[in-house]
Amino acid sequence: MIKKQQIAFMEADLARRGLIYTPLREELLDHICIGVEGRMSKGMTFMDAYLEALQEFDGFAPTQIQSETVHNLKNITMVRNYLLVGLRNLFRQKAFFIINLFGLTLSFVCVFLIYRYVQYEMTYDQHIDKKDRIYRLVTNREVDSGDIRESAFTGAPWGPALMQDYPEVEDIVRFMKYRLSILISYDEADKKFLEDHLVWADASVFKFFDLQLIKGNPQTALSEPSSIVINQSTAIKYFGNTDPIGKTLIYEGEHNLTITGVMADMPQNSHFYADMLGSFNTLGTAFWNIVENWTILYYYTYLLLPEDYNAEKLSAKLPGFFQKYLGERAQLFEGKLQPLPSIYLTSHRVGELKANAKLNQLYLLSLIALFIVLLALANFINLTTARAMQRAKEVGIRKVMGGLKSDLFLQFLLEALFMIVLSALIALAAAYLLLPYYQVFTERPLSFIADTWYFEVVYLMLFIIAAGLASGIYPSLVLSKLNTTAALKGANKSSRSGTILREGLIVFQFSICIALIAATLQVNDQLKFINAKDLGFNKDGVVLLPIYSSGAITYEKTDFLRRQLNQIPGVNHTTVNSHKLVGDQPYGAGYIFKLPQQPADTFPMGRLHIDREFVDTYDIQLLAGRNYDPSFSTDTAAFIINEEAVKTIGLERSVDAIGAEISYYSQNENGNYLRTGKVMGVVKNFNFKSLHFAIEPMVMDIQPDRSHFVACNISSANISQTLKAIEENWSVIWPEAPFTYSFMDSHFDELYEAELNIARLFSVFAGLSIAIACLGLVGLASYITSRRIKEIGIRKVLGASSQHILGLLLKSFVALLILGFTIGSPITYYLLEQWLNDFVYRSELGLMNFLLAATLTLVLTLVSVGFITIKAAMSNPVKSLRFE
Amino acid sequence: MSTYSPQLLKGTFQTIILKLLTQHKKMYGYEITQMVKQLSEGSINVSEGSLYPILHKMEEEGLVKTEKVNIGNRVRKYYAITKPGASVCSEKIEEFSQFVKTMATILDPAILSK
Repeated sequence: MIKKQQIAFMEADLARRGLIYTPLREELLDHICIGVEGRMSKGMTFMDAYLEALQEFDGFAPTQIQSETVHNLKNITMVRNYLLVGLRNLFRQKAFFIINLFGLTLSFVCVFLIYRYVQYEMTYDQHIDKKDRIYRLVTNREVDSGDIRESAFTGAPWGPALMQDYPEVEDIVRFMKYRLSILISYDEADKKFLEDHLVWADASVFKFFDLQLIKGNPQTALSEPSSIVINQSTAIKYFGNTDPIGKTLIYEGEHNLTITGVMADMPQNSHFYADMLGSFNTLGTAFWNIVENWTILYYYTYLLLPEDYNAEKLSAKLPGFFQKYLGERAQLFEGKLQPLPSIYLTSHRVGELKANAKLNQLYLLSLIALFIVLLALANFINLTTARAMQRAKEVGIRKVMGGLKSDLFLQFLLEALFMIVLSALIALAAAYLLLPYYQVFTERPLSFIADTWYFEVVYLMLFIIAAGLASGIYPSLVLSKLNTTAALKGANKSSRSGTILREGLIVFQFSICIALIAATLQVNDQLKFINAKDLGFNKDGVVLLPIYSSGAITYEKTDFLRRQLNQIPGVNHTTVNSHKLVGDQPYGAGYIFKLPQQPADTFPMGRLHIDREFVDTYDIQLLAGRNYDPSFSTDTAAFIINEEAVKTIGLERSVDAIGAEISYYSQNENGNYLRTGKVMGVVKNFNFKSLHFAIEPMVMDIQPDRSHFVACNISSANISQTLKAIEENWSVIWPEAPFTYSFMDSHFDELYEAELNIARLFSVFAGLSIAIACLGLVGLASYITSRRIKEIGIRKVLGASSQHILGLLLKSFVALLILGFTIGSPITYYLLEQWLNDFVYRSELGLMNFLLAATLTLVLTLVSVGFITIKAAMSNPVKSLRFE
Repeated sequence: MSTYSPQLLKGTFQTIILKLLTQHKKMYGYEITQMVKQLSEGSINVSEGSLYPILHKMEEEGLVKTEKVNIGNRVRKYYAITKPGASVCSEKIEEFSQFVKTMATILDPAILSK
């Protein structure tokens, strides 16, 4: 009986003799075995029996049998066999197979997920039928000497006047969305809610934005004042299953609004969102009598222009338009027309209706996707070419047998394609499983299969073919072009150009690795910077409670509220203000400053209404003067200003501003009146808006009637208990508004929604691509080491130490790393510089992050490459040299 | 009896192999060579170099089907005839007997003269 090892020996020997067509080899092996068995039973040794059986075996020319067999067969059988051989090859080299499969799969998953996200961001407002004819008019307004305020707003009368004066303006729609939550109540069911998404809109809104009315007539639903259209969710919230049409909702406890329609909930991928649409002409009839004012910019205007009309032509007429209606003030205003589909991706003005995406960041994300694929493909090319050298013999013999170059090329290409297809299929399955988590992560309703799936199948095919060709052609060419005699000799040396390519790919991987690590570090730096940036006030532990009153809010009322809240254990300070300190839009006013011995001067500044506990609640630092003191009754007329305001009026020291006289026109129920008082204190700058914007000069005084927000500074211990106590007492504290609260920090996060979202995505995908790059390094290191195993053995025999050998092996990688660093860093530096320029307050872009990234890459390389190299360096040279 | 020349045998191997396979359920390569040797009393030698290319060709054409069986430490490939194989076999035999008749007609005088 022949032993297992003997069978293995014979099989290997037959293969060595050139029998590579496996179906035939197996068969001949059996044939020979029978001869060997016969001889061994007569007492011959295995080796003698084998050699004799070979001799007898048809004079033994196994390769001749092989070529006759193969020549007799048709191509299809051969191709099937090539594939089989290829597959066996793939599976046999498990480590390579797994590294390749894992790397490719991971990269495909990343690409799919990034593609879905970017694709979704591109769909904003694309579903709107007239999107190519709709333009939004926005304003650049000169506010200060030279400062241009770019806002999304326009004046309310602008739209109708444009439509009247210019026939090309076929229709207009205006929006108004109040900056505060609005109290809506339904008395019959005693329901009241604070609504954040009530938009006042002209009747033409349905014509513009394809909003689907489930009930009601789109022509007339919003044509009458005091009518309102609500969406389905809101309808259910207020009315349950009863028909809402004709019912009355009460706006801020004062104005009745009649429901004239129910619309479908709006999709998320629009640059604005509304739960409720009130008729625009309600404004000015029931309340908000400033709607006729030409220079109060608080409204959004959209224009419908004729098909194929060049919007530039209308833009050119805007200066004349302003001239006609605003006279000499016209030069302060500049109108811009934004095509509707561009708004979500490119517009970042004051007063946007949503946190718009940044096109740059989407490009950046797409770039990462590209990098990830390139990394994985580079791995694949490198490993396949490297591994392929071990198949040189197979190639050589096949050529001797008359295998065509094109056949060989095709086989290797098919092997590459097979890997790509397999990875793509696994990646699709993985992406399908990951998608629900990814939706939460990105806060986008992304679907696995898009509406345009048939295009995507084509894309996928093209992608697979492109990736297969990109990664398959080079190794295939190298292998199929291999010199026959050299290959047969088992020449295991790669060509010079092959080495250059391989090292080039490694340098490329190192560059990307360093770039991504540096970028991730920098993005996180900036986010940390935003979080840690001294905003000039304390946002932690501040709870915001929106309030609302139908009657006038008096000093007594706010005093009562403060006392009630401060009584609750855990509440440290309470302030009643006109604004919340994050992400809110401060009022503005022209303030007349009168300094002693100087002529009065007017400055437009931000305007905020506060009270005596404002400074304490937010921990704002007083730089000069003093805070409001209840024991001085005259204090209620005094002003507190910020440092920036001191600078704006041309003073250097804050102290000098104390006592300056300020007057400005304010408005109450009796109309405009002049308010005058003295500067009593100067506070350190605090950042009102997001760090994308610079700090404005700010003037603060007390006007209880303009109270909209209560802010409580509460102790960090027992927060939930404190909140519960506030809620339980709310009906006493402020009976008119429902109890809702929010934490200051959460509003803070909203300001950076776009950045946070992208930063999170960025970190995850950068991490993954680094992992892919490392995988490739491990694979390559193991290949290079295995190629040099004999060299290592000889060096050791000649007396080299393990450390010396380790150094030798790592040196080549370190050189490539340095090259990668030199190439990758400047490009990354430039890209990051662009990103950071979006922020007025930005972290420093230092060399530190790059050095750190390079160090980290070096460590990763040392760990991944080192592990394999150490094994080689430590190994016993006898083992590796034995078979020479 | 001495062996026939390969040139003479060349066209007959396929017929011989198919015929053997109709008589046996399944056979492997070595078995076929031995069987032919035995039946021809050593005068016909199907060499490995002729056998295996023919077997593989017939497998591709669907005249025979194969089955791999593990025997001890190695794999043995058995061949069995298929329906198309059987009909090709009878065609071949028919063709060959026609051929012998034709040959006899042409060569008869010569043979008789011997």
